[in-house]
Amino acid sequence: MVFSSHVFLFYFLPLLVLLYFLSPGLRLKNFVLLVFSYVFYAWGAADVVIPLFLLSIFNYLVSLYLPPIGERIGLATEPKKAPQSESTRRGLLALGIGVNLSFLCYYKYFNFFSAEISRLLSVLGLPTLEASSILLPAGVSFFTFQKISCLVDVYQGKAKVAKSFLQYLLFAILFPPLIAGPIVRYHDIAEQIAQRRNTLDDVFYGIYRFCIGLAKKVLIADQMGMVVNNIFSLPSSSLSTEYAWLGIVCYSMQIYFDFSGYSDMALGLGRIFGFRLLENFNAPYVAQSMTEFWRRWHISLTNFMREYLYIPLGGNRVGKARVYFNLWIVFLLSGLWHGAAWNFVFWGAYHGLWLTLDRLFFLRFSSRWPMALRVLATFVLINIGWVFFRASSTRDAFSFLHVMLNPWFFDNPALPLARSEIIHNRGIVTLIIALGLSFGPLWKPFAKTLDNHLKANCGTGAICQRFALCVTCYLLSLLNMSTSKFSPFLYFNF
Amino acid sequence: MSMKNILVLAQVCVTTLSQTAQKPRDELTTESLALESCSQDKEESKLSFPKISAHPTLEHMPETSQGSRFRNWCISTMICFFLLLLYLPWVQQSLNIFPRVGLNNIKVPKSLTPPTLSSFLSGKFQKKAETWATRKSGFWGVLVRSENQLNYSLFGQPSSSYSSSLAIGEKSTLFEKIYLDSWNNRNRLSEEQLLQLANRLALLQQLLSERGIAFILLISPSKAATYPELISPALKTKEGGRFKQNRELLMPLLQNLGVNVIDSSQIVSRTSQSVPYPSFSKCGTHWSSIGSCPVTSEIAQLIGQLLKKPVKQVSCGPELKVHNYPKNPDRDLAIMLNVWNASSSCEPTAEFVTNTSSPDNHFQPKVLFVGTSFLWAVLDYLDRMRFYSSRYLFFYFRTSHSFLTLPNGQIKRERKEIDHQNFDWERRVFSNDVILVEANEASIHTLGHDFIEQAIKKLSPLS
Repeated sequence: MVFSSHVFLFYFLPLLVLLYFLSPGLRLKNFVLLVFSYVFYAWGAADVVIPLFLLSIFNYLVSLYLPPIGERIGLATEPKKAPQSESTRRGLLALGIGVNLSFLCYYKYFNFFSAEISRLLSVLGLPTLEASSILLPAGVSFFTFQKISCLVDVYQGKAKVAKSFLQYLLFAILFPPLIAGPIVRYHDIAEQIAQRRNTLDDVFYGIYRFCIGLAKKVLIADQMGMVVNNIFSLPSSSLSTEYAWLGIVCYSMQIYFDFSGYSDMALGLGRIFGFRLLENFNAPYVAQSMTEFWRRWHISLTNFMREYLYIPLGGNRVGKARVYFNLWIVFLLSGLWHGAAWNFVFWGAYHGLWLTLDRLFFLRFSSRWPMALRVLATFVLINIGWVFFRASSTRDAFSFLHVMLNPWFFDNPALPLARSEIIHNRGIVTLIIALGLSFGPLWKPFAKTLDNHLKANCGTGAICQRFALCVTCYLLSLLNMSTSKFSPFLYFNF
Repeated sequence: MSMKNILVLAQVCVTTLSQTAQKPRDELTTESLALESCSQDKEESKLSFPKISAHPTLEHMPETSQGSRFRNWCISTMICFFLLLLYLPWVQQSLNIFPRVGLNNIKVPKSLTPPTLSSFLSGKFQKKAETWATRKSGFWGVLVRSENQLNYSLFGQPSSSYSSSLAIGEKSTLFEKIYLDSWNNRNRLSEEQLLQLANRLALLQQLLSERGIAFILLISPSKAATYPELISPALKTKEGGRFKQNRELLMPLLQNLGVNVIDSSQIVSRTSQSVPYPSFSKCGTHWSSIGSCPVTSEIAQLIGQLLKKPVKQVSCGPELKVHNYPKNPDRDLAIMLNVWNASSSCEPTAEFVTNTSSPDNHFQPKVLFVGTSFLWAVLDYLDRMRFYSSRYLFFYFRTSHSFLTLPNGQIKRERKEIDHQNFDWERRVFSNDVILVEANEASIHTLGHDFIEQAIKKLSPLS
């Protein structure tokens, strides 16, 4: 189910809000949320609900026996010295992580790896494997990582085991961040499941963030997406340089507003029900280096990778060469996490390369540049990376890049589409607005206004402003939704 | 559920929310947890890995002031307003409190079939449910028209999508995309294809004349080709207007082969020089009376010449009847826009005041027309003047529309689907005196919609 759909807005959400706020007591509220979360997920991937439920049972049972020695384990109510040894705990953790990753690998990477093995076998002249077509369930990467975070947090003692299976299930399937993030670490949310309060400010702020996110997705991301599809559907030989750049810049806007819009909606919905989720974006395109970009883009993923992969690999405590190696591993896996295809791996490697270069010399070298140039250079580098993200294969990505970077294709006479068939007037205006919102934070008064708008609490005057903005965004989004076809979030595929 | 119950429920929601608002917020927030440097080790601050610093504004989350009652009242009211926005479409859908606004040329599904396990697991039910929920939504008509009006008035485009079949040119002139595609040379036929087409038409004419049936090919004009100056640069491809259109290349071939062809573009072009009203309405896709009447007159003359018999004739004008606002179908595109006000797209149109002459002992032939919606304007004149004793229109060779004069002088009109499997060619096609095949110059590549080939096969199976 998509947040920006009529089914969600006029059937699912009204019913959920009604039942949730009419439910007395947090336990019943949690139960309502749980049921609706399962309905939400089943709507998009009904055949995965049962495996997901079984995985949740498995994870919960494992987590019961992971707490540090001396803490309550199993279903015991009194803390007691755990009979299990450290090696047992480590074994259980490895088992838990292994099962979760197997779940992820099966649904996400099985098709990819079997296709690659078949290709290798055919090159060797051996019989190939039968083609597989396992459907990728939405959000599998997100909720698998969330489950892993629970196991690790309990193992490390950062968080206690869920007091009941119901509470654990709610963490595992809570619908706002389930499909496309932000990746919720267990220790960020565990206490909120057990105890939280709804205030009027929370509900109002939640509605506000939801409406802003809805507008970002529907009014900006979807518009940009149509332009991107128009351009990327053309063969490279028919494409012109200027439209290739237009396509990738529009894609950079699409992916940002789509993903951050979803995050805003997830944050907003979470806040309505009393959950405080972490921000996931921080004006990423004003970054002055690739290193800074990754502090601002998909913050929850970077948090996760840092905490659960980079630091366990040794982090910064090892030699320089090993540090760079760790960086590469993290980004290669990040790329693979985004998609089961070589172009995503290439994208991850590309970013890993630039982060390494930053550390080696590029940050020092570019520090002498004017800020505008640093921002522009970073944006160009990011866009080049996005080509691999958007293209359907590595070959297509290189063909597209060839057109982008080759002035010979400027004003290509073979372009078969009229300008309005590539980008119409509304698309142009939307692009300008999107660029303005993306780079606006470079201008301090704008940045301050944006910051104030993100604050949960504000005075009455600001409340009225927010309300007006909220209603405007909601109504304009509703207008657009009424004429558009089904438009899933980009990150649903991850 | 009655209005009273709904209001009670809303009041309960507000009361519940108000009760929760009285409790102070927790100091410990998740954001404050996130604000701790992600580095767990001070030395980690020298990380190669991007140091995650939280958004600066998130670091400052001031305590809610206990809040004035007025502030809380404002928030409560706004929340209730938003809840109203959320619930109102569902209420409208169930109770129809406000009058429904319809949309033109769009089907609204009547009901949603309940899901089966397989349809739910496969996702088919969900897709249907999404469409159903959108189109059945309480204010869908209002929302669609408002969105289209926004796009039309603010951005000069028919919709926000790229799949609309309409386009807006210069001076808010409406075009259908298929005609723009043709003008942009999207369906260009090669010389070989055009020659083959011309030969097949000539063969059909010859085979029909052996059966004593006259054949006429009518090429109706396209708005885009007639008024290329109204196509805005944004609608033109790099190839648009640079090459000869299919019609321009086909006409000399047909004339060389002696095919009876009426090129409407030339007639329309001649007429526009003398009449101050356009041959195509600004907000319509078909030719207006200014375009269709002279062509109808030409058709009547040609039929008379081919049959060598006196037939009724129609003359167009010189009087004109002006319509300040075009009648349907001269504003069919404006209707398709589905906006609140498309008046800027429409301008006054005119129709010729016609005069019919019926020679003594005039002959009323049996005529078969095969073609597209451009024929309706022609048939409108011919039907009114009872040009024929009977006529059939094979509309895209899919449906049959008959106009029959009964023995008592009454007219019978009928519409039927054409059953291609059991089609009686002798009775329905080869019993006519005249067969006129019409194709628009934008769709010469689909001329006849397979009627030509099937007719040739029936007349001469070896051809």
